[in-house]
Order: sequence, then structure tokens, then C-alpha cells
Amino acid sequence: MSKQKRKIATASKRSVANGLDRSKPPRPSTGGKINFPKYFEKRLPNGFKLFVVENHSLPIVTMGFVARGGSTHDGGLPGLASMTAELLTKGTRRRTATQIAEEIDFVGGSISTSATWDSCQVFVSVLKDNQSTGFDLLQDLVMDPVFPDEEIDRVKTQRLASIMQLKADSDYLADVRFSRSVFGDHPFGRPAGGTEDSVRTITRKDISDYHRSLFTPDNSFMVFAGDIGLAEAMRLISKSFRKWKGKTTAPTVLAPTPVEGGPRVFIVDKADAVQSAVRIGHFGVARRSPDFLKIFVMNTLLGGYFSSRINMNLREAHGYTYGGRSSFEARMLAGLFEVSADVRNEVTGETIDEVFVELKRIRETLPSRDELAMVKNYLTGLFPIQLETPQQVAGRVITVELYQLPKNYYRNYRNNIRRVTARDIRSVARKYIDPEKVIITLCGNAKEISSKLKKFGQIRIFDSNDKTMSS
Amino acid sequence: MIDLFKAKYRNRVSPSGNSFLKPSPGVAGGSRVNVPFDSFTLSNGLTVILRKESSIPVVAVDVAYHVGSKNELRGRTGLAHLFEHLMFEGSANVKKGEFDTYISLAGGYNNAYTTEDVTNYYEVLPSNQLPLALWLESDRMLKFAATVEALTTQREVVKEEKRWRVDNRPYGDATEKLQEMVFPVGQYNWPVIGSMADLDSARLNDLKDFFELHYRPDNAVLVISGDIDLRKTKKLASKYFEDIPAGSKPLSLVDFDDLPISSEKHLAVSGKVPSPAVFVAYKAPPEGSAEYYALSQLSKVLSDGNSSRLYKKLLYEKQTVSEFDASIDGMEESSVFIFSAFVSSGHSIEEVVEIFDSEIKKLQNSRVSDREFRKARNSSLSSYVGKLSTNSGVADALAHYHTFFGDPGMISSEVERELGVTRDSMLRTAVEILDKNKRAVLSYLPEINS
Repeated sequence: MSKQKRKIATASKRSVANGLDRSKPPRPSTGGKINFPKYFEKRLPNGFKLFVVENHSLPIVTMGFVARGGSTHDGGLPGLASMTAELLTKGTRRRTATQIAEEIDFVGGSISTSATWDSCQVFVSVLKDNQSTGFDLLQDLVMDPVFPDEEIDRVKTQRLASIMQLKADSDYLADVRFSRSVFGDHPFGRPAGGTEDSVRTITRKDISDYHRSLFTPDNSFMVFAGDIGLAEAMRLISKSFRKWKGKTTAPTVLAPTPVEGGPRVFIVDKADAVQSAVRIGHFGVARRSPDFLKIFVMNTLLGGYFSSRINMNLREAHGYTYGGRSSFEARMLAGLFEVSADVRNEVTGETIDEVFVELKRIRETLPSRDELAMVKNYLTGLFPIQLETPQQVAGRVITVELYQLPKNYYRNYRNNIRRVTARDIRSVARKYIDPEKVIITLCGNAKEISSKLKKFGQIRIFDSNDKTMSS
Repeated sequence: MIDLFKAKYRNRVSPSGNSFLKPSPGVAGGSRVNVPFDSFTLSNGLTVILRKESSIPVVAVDVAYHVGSKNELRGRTGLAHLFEHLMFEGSANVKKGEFDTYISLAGGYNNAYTTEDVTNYYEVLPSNQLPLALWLESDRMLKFAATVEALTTQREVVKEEKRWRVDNRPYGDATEKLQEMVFPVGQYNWPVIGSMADLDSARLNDLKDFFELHYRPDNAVLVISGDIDLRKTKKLASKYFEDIPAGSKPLSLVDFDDLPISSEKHLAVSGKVPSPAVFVAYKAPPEGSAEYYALSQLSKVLSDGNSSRLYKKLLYEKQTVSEFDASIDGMEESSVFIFSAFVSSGHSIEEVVEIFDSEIKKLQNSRVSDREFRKARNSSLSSYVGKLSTNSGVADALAHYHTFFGDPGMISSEVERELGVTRDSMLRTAVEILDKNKRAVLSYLPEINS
């Protein structure tokens, strides 16, 4: 009885005169509803598609061109897609590289080009007043690049220097070795930025062939986001993309097949390393997998946010690392499941032990109601926050179009996440995570760490040039 | 390029953004930047700034404490940043680990960062969860509740962070070495993350003292930006923060110690790096000074975009470097203008510095062209408008301007200061600040056997 009284007394001490009881979190006030914003979509007779996300809050227009197919189509030349994208800004029939730079810099705008595994993208962002300049540059880069030899040489020199820098970086070396181990000789197993050999080998013909095969009206689309409406966007494209001719000749790329074999350990030796860059995982899923959303929720719980099991374990419980995470990176053809963390040398073995504990746990036990509620609340709450700018909305539109997801994918997104059950989580974990099939890759101090890793499987050690070293 | 000086030591690694989306630079129209807001001060000294923006039901909450690594003492470095980690480890009514759980359950995200001058905590949530954010932030402002266990864990996490950022990375310690050259004495001499030795010797009592000195409402600002009702939010902020007592001791002011650079200082270090790199640093008056804005415009002419002077000379005409940067880093007590470059094989540091020097000489001898000047101005407008595209960006900017200048209105007016720079003032600043005889030059060389 007296204990209860003491408890009550303590509680009332915390309550302050203005009625504030700090001992409990407050309830939310009434919430605003938000749906995925409306956007315009139009398909032209030549197969080209146009999307417009209209939003006049800031006088900015962002224009994005997307061609289907990216580094997946590198063929035997890693870095081909990436270099082609870069060279788009290095000269067209009407403009030299210098003129392009001068024109966009002068208006305080930006151009960026890139290749992902599944797309090549050209983005231009400008002030509303400079809309025509921005668009003219965009369509020129996309439709009329000339890939001058001199510019190719410059890009090659720079890229070789950049690869040299990357090969001194633990994270890069671990990632490259990991992909290679999972995907073997498939383009997914090669660095999308290129290797020293491939960069030297790529020719002007390779680049222009790549461009011609993928950059066609039936294989690409455009998104306008910001201070522009559909009618205006249609007018802008009427003289260029609307009249664009051509059919894609992109070759079919076969999906990779999983590399067979039990648990293995690959170490990229870095003699001075004080941390091991650890990568553990195996084959993943393709983006269009019907289980993708369930896998996404499961992965978030496992290692996809700060409060995830892997981060809480490795960072908050054990202090092994600044951050631990897991991901199911899903591309059109296939994907990669990967747990990653950079940890101090001394705890490399323990880290891998803990990762196995978590991989087994998510397959064996159902998540608690609270844990599941937290991850679902997090994902459903975060979604509208990530729709703050028209550019963010455009990103979602691109995902739906590129991966040919159902049109109402994002309108139904939050409800679909809410529907995921604890059994779903366990069931997709069992189906898509297999501790018996993991590949363990590290970049670190082989001499210091390899003895602790023998228990995980057969060890192979590489140098930073991917050559096997005698262990 | 390497994160120099303004490396914000974030609490956790940010998730990578959508790979299909490139951020908009936020290019402005002809009109001025204008962000209205409300501001008031509670009786305990806490400044509260409210900004209403209702296009989507989201709110950003930002609490900035005017304390950073410059408030530390030699031998006790890294405390401010370590403390930031501990702020997530529990408070009077929130158990260890619960802070992040509450935010995630509410459907939001959060993070924090520490610099030389400020420690900033922020969360972004659905707007109906504003009371939760205020409860959490006020609870941890109210009382220091970290335990020895929390300190032990976070000490290890911070040491791993340092290993990841500095020790395990090529050129990782370049920032620290350059910092020591530019600030050989005084409170900017040590890195925000501190030294391993000082981190090891930090005791719970040191952190408790730190809390009492700096973590108090009269040393902080609360910013709320998003879908809010101004009147209701004002009441809510008072409800949660009014009863937090102001600090009992007078606010500790930093007696900032510094020396100008009076000669050209050189240091050569070596490490396991694939190519030589060079860093050239000049000291300048703090963020907000006329020189700071002139240097900002000078850095645009030198290195903004592929039409910039240094791009043409260092990368385009000849591939002397593989990467470079020239920019001004502004802090509360001083700024640093830094040129950095990775040298390409077949070229040398001397060659790169010679080209850089000749470009600086041109800036000192003739005014930039009219076109370059207008280009820089257009770029200024883009950047300032770009900061306004998200609520968290606006909240951060308001907190920053209040903390550094006592003037959150600079979110609208600072662009005018930058646009007030003239071609003449750029020339004068180039002469006065970018003086070859008053700078630090750090050469980072590959070890012979690497």
C-alpha cells in the first residue's frame, strides 16, 4: 500500500501546475489527409511518353528525360552506360562542351546525367524564366550528342584517376568484390563506373551505338516537375520529342543466375585498415516481384532504418559500428540482398556472428505486435514526408513508369503496407533469406582478421586489383 | 571531394536518396526571397520561431543549442559531439532507445549534427504529431539523464565514426592537419569529433557539467516549420517549454583565441593514398562579413560548374587534376577559404599550385568580367531559393540565422548581402585575403611503398 502511495506521489510531482503530465507521450492532434498527388500522363504516337507534376510553390522547373536500360546493358564493357551518360554533356551538333557549360551555368541552372542499372537519365533544372533555354539544352543533349574524341579522352583520363582513388576506399572495394561474388560474369557483377581495362577499351563507336540503341522515342519518356502545366509542356516538346523517330535496338539481357555454393568468405586485403567493411548476403529479388512490398517491410524491420534489428544490435547494443543496415536492392532483372556495416577490426568475427543471429531470428520467430506496428507506422508516415517537393513526386512517377508497376501503386502504397502481417514478414524472410547461401565479403586487414573468419567458410583473399593472393 | 571543416558530424548515416532524382538547385525568379515567420521569447529565454507552410501535412521541428566544439577545452575535445549522441539515450520520461521508437511510431524521421559552433537536433513528422516532438525535445532539454552504460556505448560508436570518417579513409586526416595549420592556437584547433584519447577519458561528470553550462533554454532556439496553426502552436510551445528553468549560472561565453596567418606555411604528410593531393587555406573574417560574401562570389567564378576558371585550366585544357574544389567555409568566429585538388598522374603538386596561383593573381589584377559577375549572381539566387524547398531546410536556416546572428530574418535578406557584392569588392578581397604570403599549404603524398 505504501509503495503504491509513493508511486502516486511521484507521478503528481511530475505534473506541473499548467496540467502538463510529462510522464506520458501526448496523443496526436487531428491529422491532415494526403493522397499521392495527381499528375498528367500523355502518350505520343511515336511511343514517347510525357508526365507532368504541376506545382507552382517555387518558380523552378525540373525536366527529366529517362531512357529504359542502363548499366545492365553494358555488355562486356563495364562503365559503357555511365560514360555515355557523362558524354552527353560534352558536345552536340550545335554546341561544344564549353558552350553547354557556359549556357547552363550562366542562368544558375544545373544539368546532371547518369546511368542507373535500369535507366539513363538527363535532368535539367532551371528558373521558370529560363525554361526555354533549359529545355533546348535538354533535347539537344538527348537527341544530338556527337561524342567528340577529344572529350572521350578527357573523360577516360578522369575516370581512370577516379577509379584509382576508389581502389583505395574500403567501402568501394568491399562492394565491388561482393557484387562479383554474387553475380559472377553477368554485368551486375561488374562495377557500373567501369574498370581500368574497360575504360581504356571503350571506343567512340561503342558509345554512339549504345546511345542510338537506347535513346529512342519508343524506349524513353520525360517528366516535367514544378512550375509548369501539361499544355505548356506539350508545346515545349512539340518540335522535338513529338517528331522524334526511331525504334530501339537494345539487346535483350538475360537475368543472372545465382552462383552456387555454400558460405564463403572473400577478403580484399587492405593492410592499413582499422575497420573491416563487411558485406553479407546473396541473390535478391527483381523489382516486379509480387512479394516486393512485403520484402520491403521485412527488410526495413531487419536493417532498413535506425530502429532496425541490425542497427540496434551492431550499433546501439554493441557499439561495433557507426551504422549497420540491410537492403534488397531490386533491379528489373534481379536483385541483391546485402547486410553491411563498417566495424573495427577486433570485432569483425563477432559482427558476423550477430548478423547470422539476426538472419536466423527473422526467419524463425514472428515479430512482436509493437515492432511490426513501429515499422509500418514509420513507412506509412514517412511516405507523405517524401512527397514534399514536385521533384520527389516525379521520382515516384519515374519508378512506376520504368518498372511498369500498376498505375495506382503509390495511391495504394500505404494501405498495402498496413496489410502486411507478422506471418508475412516471417514467410518472406524464410523464402528470400537463406543463411546457408550467404557470401561474406570484407575489405580489411587480412592478416589481423582472417584467423577469426575461418569458421564461416572457405576463405579467399584478393588484392585491390581483384587478383587472388596466396593466403 | 573531401568534406572539409564544415563536416557536420551527423548522428547517423543518412539514407541514400532516390537514385532517380537529382535535387533541384532551386533557381529563383526575379523577385526577392521572402519567408515570413513569427518569433517570440519565453520567460526562460528560449526563442521560438514559427513558420506556417500548409501545402502538405508535414512539420519540421528543430532545436539548436548554441554550443559546439569551440566551447570545449584542450584535453577534453569531442564532448559536444559525444553529448549529441547521448541526447538520444534517454531523458527523465523517455527511456534509452525510446526516442527513436516514438519518432518511428509516429511516422517520422530524425537526426542531429554538431559543428564547431552549434549542435542541432531535428525531426520531421506528420503535422498531427507536433505535440510528440515538443514533448521529446522539451524532456531532454529539462534534465540530464544519461547513464554510464549509455556513455560507454556511444563512446564506442563515436570512435567507430571517427575510424570510418578519418582513420580508415585515404586523405582522411587531411582536414585535421589543415585545421591545425590554420588555427594553431585557440578553440578551432581541434576537430569536432575530438581525439581518441580525449574520448576515452570523458567521464559522465564532464558531460553533466556540459549539460548544465550549455543545454538550457536561454542558450537555445526552437523552430517549427510546416502545416501548423500559429496560435495553437504558440500555446503548445509554451506548454512544453515554459517550465524549463533558465540556466542557473551565467551563459558561458567563449573567449575566442586566434592568430592571423602571417606567412606561407607548409606541411607535407604522407599516407597510403593513390595520388598526391594539395590543400591551400586562407583565413578570412567570419560568416556574415563583407569579405565572406565576396569570397563566396569569388569561389563561384573559380570553381562553380564546368564554365568556371579553374575547371577550364585544371581539368579541361590539361587534366592536371582529377578533382578539385575552391570554396569558403564560414564559421561563427572565422572563415576559411580552401582550394583542394587530387593531382593526376604525370603532374605535380607544384604544377597545380602554380596554375591556381596564376588564377588568383588574375583576380587580384583585374575585375571579373561582367558575364561572370552576372553568372555568380544568378547562382546565388538559385542556392538561396533551393534552401526553401523543404520544411526541414527552412527550419535549419532559421535556427542557423538566429544562433549565429540573432536575426532569423536573414533567411530572406542574406541573399541581398551576397547580391550586394561588387566586382570591385571581389578584387579588393582577393588582394587582401587570398594573399600568397598568408596561407597554409598542406601536401599529401603517397608513401613510397603504397
